[in-house]
Amino acid sequence: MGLAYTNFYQKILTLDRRWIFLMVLIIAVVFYKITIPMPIKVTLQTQSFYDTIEQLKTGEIVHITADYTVSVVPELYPMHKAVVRRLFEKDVKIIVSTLWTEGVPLIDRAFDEVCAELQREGKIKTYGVDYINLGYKSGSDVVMTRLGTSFAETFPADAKGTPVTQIPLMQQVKNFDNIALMINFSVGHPGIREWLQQVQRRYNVKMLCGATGIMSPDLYAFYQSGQLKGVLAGLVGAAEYEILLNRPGLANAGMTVQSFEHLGIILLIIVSNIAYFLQKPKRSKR
Amino acid sequence: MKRKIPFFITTFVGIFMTAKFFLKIPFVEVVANEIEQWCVIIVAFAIVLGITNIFRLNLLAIVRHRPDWQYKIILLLTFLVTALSGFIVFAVKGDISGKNAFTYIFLNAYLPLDSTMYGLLAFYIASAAFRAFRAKNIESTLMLSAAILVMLGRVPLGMAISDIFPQLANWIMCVPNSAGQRGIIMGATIGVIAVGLKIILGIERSYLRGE
Repeated sequence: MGLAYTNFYQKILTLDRRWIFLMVLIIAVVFYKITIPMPIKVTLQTQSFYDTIEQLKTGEIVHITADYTVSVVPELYPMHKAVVRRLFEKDVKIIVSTLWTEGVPLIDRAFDEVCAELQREGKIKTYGVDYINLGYKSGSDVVMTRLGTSFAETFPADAKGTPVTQIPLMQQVKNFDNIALMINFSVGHPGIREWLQQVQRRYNVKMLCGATGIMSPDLYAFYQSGQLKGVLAGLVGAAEYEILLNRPGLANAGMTVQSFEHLGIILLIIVSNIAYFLQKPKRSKR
Repeated sequence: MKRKIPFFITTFVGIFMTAKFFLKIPFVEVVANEIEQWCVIIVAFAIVLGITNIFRLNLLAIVRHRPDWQYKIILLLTFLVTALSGFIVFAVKGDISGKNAFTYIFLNAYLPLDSTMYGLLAFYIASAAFRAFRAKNIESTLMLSAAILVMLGRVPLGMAISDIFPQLANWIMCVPNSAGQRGIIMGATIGVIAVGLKIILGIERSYLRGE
């Protein structure tokens, strides 16, 4: 009887990983369609992020740096879109650039979707006046410091190839002195760590960050030091921000799946540990 | 000369870039700004170099029928189709934004494929958590407990079960995590300063082919 139990525990401990993959898949598929309303508690970091944006005044200019790639679109795009929409609602002007080659179409996508939504509500935003996509520039940290000297010299033309000297919004911006707030969506290098090192302290720029869940533990220290005024940590951070805006969107839609995936992983860990401990005394006796 | 010129360039650039950070001297700023502009241009060449290398290595692999050479044909074909669609759209329209062949490929082929690759992480993380998170000793038990609390506290389900989970998760992130991160950041930064100084002063020359 004892041997049968030991074999059973051994089987659990050496479970074929394809069963685990199947469990993850089933949870994702089932809870993709089922949305269970659950309370979302807003963290201090998200609340600060929201408050900082709310303090912006009409006509002020925000620089968004969309330093992420398409692989993390499900995680970062919801917050990117929510932020762009909120800034437009507050009649804040937006300049967007990216240090990642794949960022440019994502910037366009966010602008296109938000502008279309606002147009349906009777609010028109004009390219070059209310917002601009400066596009991609190679050079990582050097581009960051160059922006501290001159936006126009660093990005002589926007993503469409129009010289920035012909763009009305860019006439109001020389360097970071004219930027009320910088918001970085970050997935790695170059990303928020480099912006903090090269720009935040040197040019005294007020900075916010939205990062992937994997990256966010690195950022709490910078939030506590005051270098970051707020942090949206992963998809849950975006969901919290949507709640604060009273407009549940893409991020909130993903919360049920994420909750049950986490629960599934926790159950797996508990089961594997129970099997490990129940098998352990028998191993020691041997 | 092979070593002296790169060393001179490194020292020159290092001194001016460091000086620009700390000093407000017009001459230093002018020189440093010029160096930055050069740097942006030089880095752009790296992209051309990268593309050339992709072509050269993959073409060689196809011609010599190296392992998996069939996949390299797909790589080069997709690369050419995507790049050409971008060039053609830009030549015709003047910009590549909006609805066109390039953005169609990007949003409907590349985006879902790359997101899928990233999404696979969830499967591997679940499998790794099942095998690796074992309470074998005090340290692993602590890590295991922290992981469970953060996983539960960072999702609405944990918040629905009890208010304690988000509070505990936030405490773990803000106190022990931040303390550890600060230590790592400060240690790494001091290391970077030391290596930077050694490179500028010519003590560390491994970047010159290890000489």
